[in-house]
Amino acid sequence: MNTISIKYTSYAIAPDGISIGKTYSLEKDKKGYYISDIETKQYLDFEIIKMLFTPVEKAWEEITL
Amino acid sequence: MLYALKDCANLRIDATSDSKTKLFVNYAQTSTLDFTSEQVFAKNKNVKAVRFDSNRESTFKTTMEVFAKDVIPLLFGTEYEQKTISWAKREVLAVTSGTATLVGTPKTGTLQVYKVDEDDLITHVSEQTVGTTTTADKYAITGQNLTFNTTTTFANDGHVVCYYFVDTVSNSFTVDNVTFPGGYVIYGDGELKGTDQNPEFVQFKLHNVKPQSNCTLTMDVSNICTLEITWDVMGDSKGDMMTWSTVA
Repeated sequence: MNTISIKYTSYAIAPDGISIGKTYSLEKDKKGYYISDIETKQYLDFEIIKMLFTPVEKAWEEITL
Repeated sequence: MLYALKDCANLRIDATSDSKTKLFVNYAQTSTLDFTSEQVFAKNKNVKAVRFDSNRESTFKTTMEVFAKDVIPLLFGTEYEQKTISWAKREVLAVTSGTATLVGTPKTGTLQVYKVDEDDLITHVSEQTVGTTTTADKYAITGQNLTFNTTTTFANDGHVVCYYFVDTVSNSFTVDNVTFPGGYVIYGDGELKGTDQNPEFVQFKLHNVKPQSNCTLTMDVSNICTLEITWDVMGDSKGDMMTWSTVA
């Protein structure tokens, strides 16, 4: 899949290690979906990612994974 | 003629930094001028014969039960400014069939959710964190709608308390550990009344005053807060502390 840039936008307190305002990359490997930047790599359920993050350039509906 | 003095002076408070009037106070309960000085005596044998006076000091104390809100930052040496502040908000929501809806719009990443004791709706029972709602104490959020676990956490309807912040443009001031009150000139208007019952206008000027930096704001369920400001009265560059005038 293509790397997608996402940002945390939920009202909820962010999970440990996630910073508000920072841009993360959404990627997938054989273990599942993960978000990453230079310091972080966190595997999260894709539905949770969609709930908490918003793509920087497009809406979730417009993205093909 | 003899005179009597009653009532509290009306005060005009000018900052020495820009000579502008910062406050007019005509609502104080009391205004008390207090002067002290030190004395030493030369004695003839053991009898005081000559007195030497020195070290005149003064304070001006005002007490208020109603006050302009600008009085409070003045005590701390600061002023209100308009800026965006994160206001702490609390909402208690009923969870019905595992769902609840926030009324407010939280700032991103600030929402904390706790299931609360049904008896008091205050005591936290368990923290709810975002996740898959098939797991106990996890919730999902879409906009302002919250969905909770209905197999364990909210098998029955209940309540959650939500804490969050909302950014709001506010008039605010911050008390820091380096900024202290500046200097002021106070003009006080009062009235003497003679034994002929006619009032006589009096104005006093305190040339160089500064509110003491010790301040207590008591918020009491039983008593009205009395705001007490004690100003240190100092001499100006000429040594003048107070000028008291009546119309000639």
